[in-house]
Amino acid sequence: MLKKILTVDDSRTMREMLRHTLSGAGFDVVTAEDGADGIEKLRESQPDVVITDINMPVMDGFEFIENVRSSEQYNRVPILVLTTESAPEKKQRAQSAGATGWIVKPFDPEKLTRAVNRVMP
Amino acid sequence: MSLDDIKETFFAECADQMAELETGLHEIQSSGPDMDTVNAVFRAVHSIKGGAGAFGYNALVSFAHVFENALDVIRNDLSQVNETRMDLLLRSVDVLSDVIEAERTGAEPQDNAALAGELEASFGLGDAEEAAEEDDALADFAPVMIDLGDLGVGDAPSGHSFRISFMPHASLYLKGHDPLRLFRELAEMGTLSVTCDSAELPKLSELTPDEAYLKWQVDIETDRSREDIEAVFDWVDGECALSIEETGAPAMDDGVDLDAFLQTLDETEPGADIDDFGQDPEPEAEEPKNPVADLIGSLEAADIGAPATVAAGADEPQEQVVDPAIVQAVAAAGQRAEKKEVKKASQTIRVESEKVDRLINLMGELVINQAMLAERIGQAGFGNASPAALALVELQNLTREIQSGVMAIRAQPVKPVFMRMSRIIREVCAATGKKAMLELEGEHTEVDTTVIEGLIDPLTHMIRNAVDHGIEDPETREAKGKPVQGTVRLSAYHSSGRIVIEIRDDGAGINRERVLDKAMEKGIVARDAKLSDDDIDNLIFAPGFSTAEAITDVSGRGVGMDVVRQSIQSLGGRVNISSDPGNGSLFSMSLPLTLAVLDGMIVKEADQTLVLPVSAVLETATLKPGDVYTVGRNSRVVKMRNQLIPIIDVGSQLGFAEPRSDYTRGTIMVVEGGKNGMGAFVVDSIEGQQQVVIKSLESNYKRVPSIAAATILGNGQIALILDCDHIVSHQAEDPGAPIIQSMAG
Repeated sequence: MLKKILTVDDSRTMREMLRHTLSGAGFDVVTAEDGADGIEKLRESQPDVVITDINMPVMDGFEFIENVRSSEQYNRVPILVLTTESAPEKKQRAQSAGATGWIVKPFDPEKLTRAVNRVMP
Repeated sequence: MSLDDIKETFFAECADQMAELETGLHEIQSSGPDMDTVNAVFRAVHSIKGGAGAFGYNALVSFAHVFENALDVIRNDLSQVNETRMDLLLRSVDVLSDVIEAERTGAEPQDNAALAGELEASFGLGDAEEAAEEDDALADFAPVMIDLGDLGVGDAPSGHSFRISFMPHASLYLKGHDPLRLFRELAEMGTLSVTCDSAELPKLSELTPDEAYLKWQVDIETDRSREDIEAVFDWVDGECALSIEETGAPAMDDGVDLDAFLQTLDETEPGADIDDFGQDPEPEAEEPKNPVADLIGSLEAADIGAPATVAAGADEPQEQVVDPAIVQAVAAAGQRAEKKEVKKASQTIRVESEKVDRLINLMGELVINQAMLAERIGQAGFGNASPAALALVELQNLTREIQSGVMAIRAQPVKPVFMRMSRIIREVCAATGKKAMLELEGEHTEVDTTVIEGLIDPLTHMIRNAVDHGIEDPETREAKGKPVQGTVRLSAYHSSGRIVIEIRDDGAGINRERVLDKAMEKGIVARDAKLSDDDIDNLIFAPGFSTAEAITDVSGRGVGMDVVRQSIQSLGGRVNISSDPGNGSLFSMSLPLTLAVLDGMIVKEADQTLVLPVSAVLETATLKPGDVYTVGRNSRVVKMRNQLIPIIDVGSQLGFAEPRSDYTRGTIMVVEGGKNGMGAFVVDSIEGQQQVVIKSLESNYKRVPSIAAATILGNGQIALILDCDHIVSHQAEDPGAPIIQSMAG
């Protein structure tokens, strides 16, 4: 069975990019449009890895991660954060919210796939 | 979908974002900045920048970057908005639009350095150097991602040897890391020898499941540098104790060669090899050339479900264990297909709530029926591995899925109700001349609609009350050195299967002296009563109590808080107040998530069958004589995992059994009692675990303290569901009235 990845990003372009890249790398991809949608899709699709943007409407990435980590069922799923900033404090904030790792945007397909494989259970 | 298609999406999205950006900025210009609009505007530009970066539109990235930074200044401090800056931002919108158009058509973008410079100067983005540096960071693909280099798996490396000691903290596991994956990554760099040190691992009985005990020593021979090794651990920085030492000489002496082991791991790795990349993805995206063939294809797909279901009823017990997964997969595939279709039409459908209620009632009947069926199958003497029992397990799984699906239809976030409260606060402030703001937390927490509906009135009342009676007037606040504007914080979260809603204000808190005076005056408590602070605070829930000196027209005429309490109780909830005089009060309500079904732990105590919510039970144990300690005269506690937990003898606490003399003969269940901490309930035995349908006692009998509701078990017997929070919080009191006996009568 294909490994499943949930991507959470408010930008349609990014969602399509991620889907294109990850399904090209042999993953089953589920997309969500913001953190709240992400929580719902997480329940429905039970992904192996989650990739999330930070700056999103309705529920931002930090809140999303905290939500996932506080749920009993999914708190161990690896979560990668997509970030345009390479500033250390952003990463630290993501880490303290419970992120497993991060990917700096813009990403190239190979780097993205490697980052995913690094945490894939 | 090809890259070109995605580019098209990008430009379509750019148009949307530009519209959003323009509307937002005009709104800010006409009615001043508010956080939501500024955030939306910022996100629009941020999103354009992100997409542009992905396609290498560098001119667009760099202008959007400056624009974004300018907006960030406003986002960090709304008062930074002024006319000149707004003008500049609006001009930037036009330029941004031009740059997008230029990138789309492949034309050379106009020079926008002048405007970018103006933005930087006006918003004090100042050091252009830093901006340039960041731009570099953007252009350079991955400042953080680690280059693993060529994957020379199995190569015999030469060069350095490192000794790595690695001890993960518990937090490492909580963030989805796995030491094995780190080792796997190291194994790709060279020859590895891993030793696990389990000396810290306690005995099973003393093991705390969420603690980290293991540490590893890894010796690696590699031609990579120390930085490459460190890079493997960069995501776990701060989550472990790590030391990397260069040992120089190869250290492969202890004969434990995990290389082969790790090699097999590599082979079983997910089929996401980099070599696969570049192949045409998404076969499903291909245009169906023949609609009939397509239909046949989907019929065949649907067929997969049939044999699986048949097998479940047939006589192949071995297969059946696997079946649910297949059935689920098929069901999931069906769901996906269905979803796609629904999406084309509309995202939501409107359904009368009565239809859903009917479904939920039927659901309840189904749960009871299933319990009866389980009882019959048990009585008929079928074993646990018999086809009948296995089919029952599947039925139970299905019922559970259906139930959570049905409940999800009615589950809604509390946000709309919370949003209404900010208006209430504004109204009360206008009527009283006070200043207060509302802070929300956890507004996405979901709960059953029926609970939400019942919540509106009590919540409105409590919020009014918090401002009207809690928050002081601006002068008083200033005199006390508090911020002139008071804060009311409304938060929601899930806790042991319930939703907790808290209203916290930073006002004056409860004036206990005055409350007590008033209560004595009204004859609510006796003149000579000795009450604890907590008791006094809770007096405001007494019927006919009102503390405001002059009855205001805001919070009503003192019919308030007892009505609030009643309506919360009728939802199966509790409300509590705690107050810190001078610093504010905290109202906290705890409500069941749904009013329909719960997972119950069935226990026996002195011939009575009782039900505890599984969500409240932390663990179960039997006690040894040495585990029990006596505190004070009668209180006993048990020591578990280095915590002292008060023992609650359930039968005697509820008044239907004699107190136990020997706790070691019963079974202990450690129960979480909300904010009242934990309690170790002693009962005779645990009978099992099953879903039970909640039947309200209030609506059929009357409210009984310590009992949350009743239910019907599979054998038709009625059992009471315990209110664990209440029992834990009242353990210190004398055993109450004989509840069970009065129920029987």
